Amino acid sequence: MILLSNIEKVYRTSSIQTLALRNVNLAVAKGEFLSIMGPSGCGKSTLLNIMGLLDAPSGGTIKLDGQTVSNLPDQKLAKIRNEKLGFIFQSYHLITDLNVIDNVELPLIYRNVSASERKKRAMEALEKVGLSARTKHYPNQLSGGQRQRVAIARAIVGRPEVILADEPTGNLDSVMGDEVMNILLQLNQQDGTTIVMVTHDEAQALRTQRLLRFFDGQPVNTESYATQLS
Amino acid sequence: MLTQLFKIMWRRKGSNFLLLTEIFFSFLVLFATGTLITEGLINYFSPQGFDHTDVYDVRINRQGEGNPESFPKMQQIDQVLKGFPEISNYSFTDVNTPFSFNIMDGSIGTEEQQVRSYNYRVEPAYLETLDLEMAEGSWFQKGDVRIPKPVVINEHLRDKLFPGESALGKRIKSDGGTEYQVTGVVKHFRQDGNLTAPESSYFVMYNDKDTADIAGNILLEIKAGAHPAWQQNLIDQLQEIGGSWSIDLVPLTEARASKAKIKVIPAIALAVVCGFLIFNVALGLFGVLYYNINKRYSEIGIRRALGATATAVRRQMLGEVLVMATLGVSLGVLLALQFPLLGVMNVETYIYLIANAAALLLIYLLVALCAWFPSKQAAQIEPAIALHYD
Ligand SMILES: Nc1ncnc2c1ncn2[C@@H]1O[C@H](COP(=O)(O)OP(=O)(O)OP(=O)(O)O)[C@@H](O)[C@H]1O
Ligand SMILES: [Mg+2]
Repeated sequence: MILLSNIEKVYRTSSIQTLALRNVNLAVAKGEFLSIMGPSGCGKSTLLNIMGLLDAPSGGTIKLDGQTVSNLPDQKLAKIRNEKLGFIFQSYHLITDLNVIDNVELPLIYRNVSASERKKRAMEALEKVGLSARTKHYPNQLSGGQRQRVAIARAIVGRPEVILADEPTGNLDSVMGDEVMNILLQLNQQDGTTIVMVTHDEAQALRTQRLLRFFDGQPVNTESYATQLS
Repeated sequence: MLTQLFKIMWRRKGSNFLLLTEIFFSFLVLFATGTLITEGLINYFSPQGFDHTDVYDVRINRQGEGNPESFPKMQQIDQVLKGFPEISNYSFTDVNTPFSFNIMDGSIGTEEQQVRSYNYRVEPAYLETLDLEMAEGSWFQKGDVRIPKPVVINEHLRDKLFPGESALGKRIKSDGGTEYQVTGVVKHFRQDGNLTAPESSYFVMYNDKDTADIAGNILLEIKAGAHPAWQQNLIDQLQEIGGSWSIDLVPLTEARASKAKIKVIPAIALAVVCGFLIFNVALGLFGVLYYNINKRYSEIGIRRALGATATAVRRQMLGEVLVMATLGVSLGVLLALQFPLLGVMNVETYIYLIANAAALLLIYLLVALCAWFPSKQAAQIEPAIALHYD
């Protein structure tokens, strides 16, 4: 599904140069739930951003579904992000001036879906995350767990094949975290969505199929588990 | 997409209000300065109603000499001018010659309406000397002693006194009580030509038999290509007749130049102020827009992550700003429309309309320019980087 070959990422600021990723090779299979762990600053977010075409690598190639996407023009990249990928971030990244349903509709807006169809699909996505009663609320009127569920609804509304989640439970207490984790597992197992998740929570990582340990810009080993819905 | 755009703008009414106010005041500044500039330009490029090339102004100061002594001298001068080969036309006039610093004004009009108006006492040959253009009727003839006295008015005065109709044969009365009958209407005429706005004027005839009625100036039209020696020659001859009089010969082109200098200085000052204001408006708009767009990097990052192209983001930013501009400008236009209704600046309505259109165009141009750069910059940044702003 996702194939990274020899990926490098160098951040250059005026004074220092940071090598955030060094020669990363990684394959994510279709329908897989992969988690990534590692110390702070080791390059996990950078890796996820590059997989999600939110940032360009300094070297190497990315293949999605067999198509090389590392050098595509912005228009094509935007289309792939819109249709194939869904994002979930630690700090939710909802648009504060739009209410829940408008936030969830966003990916469909860039896809020319009619307003009534958008509404219908957004409602379905919100039902899946158990938030259909709060569609007119604004993000600042919701709890952290609710915000993250809105973000998940937004990530799945366009029915992407891949969801990239960067510490989706990082800002949540363990109960809320488990709730979000359950939704992700369900998406993976029932809808066959491929998920790559960065986490600091060992227990959550253990519930995914495969754990990749990352250190200093490189994977150091990977472990496989049997996934389970609790 | 559009409804979402409006929802967001409504939620951000706080910061958008600042932008709206900035655009509103910018529009008013541009409108007011635009009105002044448009008026000046229109005056400058509209016909002045006379041709002053090769026309000279003989300025006579009789140094307090009484009329009975001066009258025969003026008649002698008349004879000299008649026989002077370089002069093609000449007319005795009052001191308010074109571009001079003397004016004569008073009220004239019908029983119903009096109009403040400049007046000129001239001889029939004034018509040819300055090449005035008739709009209707005819100029007065030498020896015309009709009662009421003939008067020629300009179009501006006619349009005030007799809007939409012919002025010929109409009787009007000056505030001095003299009654006149209109024999003709001249086009465009105003004393300072294209240096000034249209103004009401009328012309009456000198009575050259009247010892009490002595001209102060003489306008001469000189044949093209005359040898310059005529000037000294003429002054010498006139001086000999005048004796103690002081006599100056001033080309109208020169008179116009000194008048222009006086009008140009405030115009330049105004232009500098306008330029400064427009610069400030641009700077202010740029600041507000730059700030507004920079605050939204995180939103831009989110939209890009969800599938917006850089172009779509840029369009959205520009679109929002143009909507704000339209709102601000609409308020401005609403206020600007009060200007002609209340007569705030004393210019013709069509000048307001031109200034209005120019200000509109300039605002949209400025807003588009000032929004374009930050929008482009915001759209180009990698989504991952944009997401880091919060
Ligand atoms: N925009 C940037 N400019 C410069 N350096 C950056 C930038 N983004 C990340 N880095 C650097 O790249 C390295 C990897 O950062 P990254 O955010 O991927 O770490 P991480 O593994 O996600 O850490 P955490 O667990 O704290 O989120 C860090 O050393 C960081 O300082
Ligand atoms: Mg991170």
